[in-house]
Amino acid sequence: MARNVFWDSNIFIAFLKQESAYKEYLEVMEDILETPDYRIFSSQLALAEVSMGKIEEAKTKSFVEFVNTFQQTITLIPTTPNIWINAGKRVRHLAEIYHSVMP
Amino acid sequence: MAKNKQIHFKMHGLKKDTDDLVSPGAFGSKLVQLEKTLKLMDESANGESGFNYGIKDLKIGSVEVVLEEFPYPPLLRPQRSGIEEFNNFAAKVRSGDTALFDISHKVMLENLKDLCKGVGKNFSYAELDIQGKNSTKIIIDETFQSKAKQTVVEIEKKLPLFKGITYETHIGHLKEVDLRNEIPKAKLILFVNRIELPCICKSISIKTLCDSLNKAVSVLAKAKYDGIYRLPKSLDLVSIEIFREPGKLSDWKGKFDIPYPNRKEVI
Repeated sequence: MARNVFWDSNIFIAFLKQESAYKEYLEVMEDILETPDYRIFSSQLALAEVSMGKIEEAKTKSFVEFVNTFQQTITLIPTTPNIWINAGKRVRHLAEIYHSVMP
Repeated sequence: MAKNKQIHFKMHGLKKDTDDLVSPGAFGSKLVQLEKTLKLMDESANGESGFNYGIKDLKIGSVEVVLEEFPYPPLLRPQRSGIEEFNNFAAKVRSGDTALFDISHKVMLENLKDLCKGVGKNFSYAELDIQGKNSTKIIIDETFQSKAKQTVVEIEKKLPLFKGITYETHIGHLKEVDLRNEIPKAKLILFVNRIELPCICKSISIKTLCDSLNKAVSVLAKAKYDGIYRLPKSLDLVSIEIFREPGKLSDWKGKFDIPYPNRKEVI
């Protein structure tokens, strides 16, 4: 049975940058990516956040190729207006409780 | 000076195999969940955390604990008690009147659902009693659990849904291209849960449609929302991009220079 995981942009950024601070998690991420049992979900927003970075000049692979790979490897949840409406309501509710939406 | 409120929490085991014993794990996890729920009620009622909760008494011979609420910081007592809020909230859930709730109550309801988790499996039922005037004894049993679940379902139904047209990108497999009518039609099977979206393809050439059939594609489309269904009712395709053979995400390690914004920039 497939196991579903959700990765936010910080996970992808840590993975792509091979952040040394998250060394112990990087191997786990690699395993998840290599294991067909896992299905990784993410949001289109996460792709936009990852795409903020520029591919180093020296590397020849194009940005389009990266997006192509990302979209097919990761199951991206489309950001529809109904998701925005729910997100807006949730943020307002959290702001009411905590007087802030910042962590 | 106002007296600190107390709540009595008592669990009952499953009679069939353990002679009414409750496992330490079940008791511990419910106690943690109860404290979490009380803190949430306190924050919701007072706008910020005003109380802490401590164990006042552990009863001998039964799985019963008394929790006491005390203001923290000690000299600033908030106006509303988290324990009383919890009692009122749980009583409303027990009444089964879902009209009393809206989406703003969802976090609380989810916590209440977690408190009910395992009822009928790990324990028979639990009692919550604040033993005061106008208080209601709350029985956490399978009926209460189903009412909490039903309330969450009902409030989600109340969410307003978008009605109108947007431009969106969707990813999936293009199937069943139908060229029989004046306006070609097709179906896009989304990668997400293989949901099927009907497509109108009047702006797409026949050649592109034929090339895209049964392939993984990314489509830019005018999406029509009817205010009833969460996803678009139909897509009017503007352009189609066929995916090439994907590489491995691992191949992109170390090839990005992604800036991490610092906290000040975010705020």
